[in-house]
Amino acid sequence: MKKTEEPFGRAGPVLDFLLTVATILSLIATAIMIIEGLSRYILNTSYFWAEEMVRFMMVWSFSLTIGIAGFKKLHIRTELLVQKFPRAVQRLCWILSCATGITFALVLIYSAIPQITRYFQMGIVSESNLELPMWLLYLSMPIAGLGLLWYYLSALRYAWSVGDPFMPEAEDFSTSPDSDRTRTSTNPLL
Amino acid sequence: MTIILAAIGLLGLMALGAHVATTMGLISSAIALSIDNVPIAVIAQTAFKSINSYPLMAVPMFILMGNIMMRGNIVFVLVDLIGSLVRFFRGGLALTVMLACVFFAAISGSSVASASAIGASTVEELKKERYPANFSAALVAVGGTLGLMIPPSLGFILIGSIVGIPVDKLFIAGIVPGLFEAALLLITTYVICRKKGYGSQHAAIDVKGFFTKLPRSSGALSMPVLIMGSIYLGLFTPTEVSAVAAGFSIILCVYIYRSLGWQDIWGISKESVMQSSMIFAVVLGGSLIGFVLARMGASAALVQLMVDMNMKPWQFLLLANLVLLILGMFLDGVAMIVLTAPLLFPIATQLGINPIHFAVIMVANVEIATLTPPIGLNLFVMSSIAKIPVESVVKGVIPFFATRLIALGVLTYVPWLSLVLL
Repeated sequence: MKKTEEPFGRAGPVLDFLLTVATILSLIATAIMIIEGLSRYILNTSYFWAEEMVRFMMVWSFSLTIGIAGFKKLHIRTELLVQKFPRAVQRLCWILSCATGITFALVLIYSAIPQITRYFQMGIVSESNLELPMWLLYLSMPIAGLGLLWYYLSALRYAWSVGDPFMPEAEDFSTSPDSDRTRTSTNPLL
Repeated sequence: MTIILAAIGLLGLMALGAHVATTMGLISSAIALSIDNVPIAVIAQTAFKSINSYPLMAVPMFILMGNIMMRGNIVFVLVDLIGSLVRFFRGGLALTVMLACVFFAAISGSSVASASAIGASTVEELKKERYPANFSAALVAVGGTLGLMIPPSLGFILIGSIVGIPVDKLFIAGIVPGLFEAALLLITTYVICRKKGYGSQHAAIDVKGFFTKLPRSSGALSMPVLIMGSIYLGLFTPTEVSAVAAGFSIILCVYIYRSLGWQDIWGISKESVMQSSMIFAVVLGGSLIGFVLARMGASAALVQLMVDMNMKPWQFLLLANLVLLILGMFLDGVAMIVLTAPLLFPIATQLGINPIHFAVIMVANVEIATLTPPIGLNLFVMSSIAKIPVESVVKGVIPFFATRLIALGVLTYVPWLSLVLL
């Protein structure tokens, strides 16, 4: 599998580590859900902790990878108009996009702090018998914000000094005669 | 006024290439903070709540399952099996490909994943039988869209988690409309092949070949039975079935078909986690938009406006379809659902339209959006796979596009199709 080096070379090993942790969390969550489903169907036994555990593992998996999805050019955007601009204007658009991301990341981090502090001070735990500390669960939000911030700062540096930080990886569309135009969007799903 | 300025800011930033998720998040945060008495902590609370949702947990698991089935080359087995039954028709291979799309739709929730999997496995075969490249590419691009309507559908999961409709009911509602669309597309394919003399024709149905191939295909065929059967019978919740199906897909591809190794599964899992993260990011941004619209009373105001205008349900449905078709030209499916669902569903409900029926209409529009230039993703996927210009794919899609619009019209004004199994 192609690593996450390009164009953000030095971030590669850290991103790979975070992605590995997130993938393990996601796979454990999947396994828990399989056990819960089969157990409920076959043994008529449901585990009180299963649903909450799955939700929280997936939320943490998301928080750890939201920035990495950016490094891998997976976040949805439209480039149709930008492609028609001269290079200098394109650069302004890239910088504007990065500034949007950076500002939102900062808002996400800052807005999570009061809630985390309150949960931590009051010792609030989750609703199920698992009684997970809520501050730990909410911590996923500023972590997601930090991931985004890291990605957009790297993208900003790249846009400023090199070129298009959002260009999709060539391997996806390299054989297409319309490879340039395929950059109108990078969403691989719906 | 604030909402109009925000809408201009939102669309302007998106047009200038800003990411959809962060743009929605930033604009809605700015509006939220400008409203009196809204503490900043609400932003993180709303964001957390939006992704900490049980129905939404089905997304990563269905994505994992779809990716495993796609990489595991399950399509080859199916094309082989289906081909033995339908290839005595003129254009039998094209019909086989369309039927493979229907089947793959039942194991994949994504239109692009379906088109990629089927396109990569069948375009060369179609070329050998001298089908024009643009027809072949269009066939798969259009057939792939069925992945959105036939359950499991990522579109339905998103709508369900945003609007609060049970996902299992949405899945069941999608079965008949999906099969109806598939039937129309099969008829269109057959008519085009006959009229233009595309493809070859086998002498007779290969019943013996079918039964010889059936045991090998039974593993793959059991996947849609597992997914749809268990949801329809209420054995599993959609989230549970997504996990069970992901586990079953690993067993199928690693132990039964031996098309993937554990190393491949690990790589696919990593990729699936990132793809899920991208969807969750849009949901997070969209939830903030939803919060702002609700807090400012925009949804309620729009509902009141429609009531004051004395708008009839059929008029609203026509208007909604037009808006969605136009938005679909410029927005991707996830963004389209996240942006429009909080606004359109309250109006539809107020006008007495069943929300499940309206969800089917919205998904039918998203299907068409994946085929509409300039940002029709399936067009680009097939342009890439078939190695032809995207304009050629568009030309090939035109007859099918007409079929899709007819299907949209019928699904819009015949709610029975969406509600019959409920």
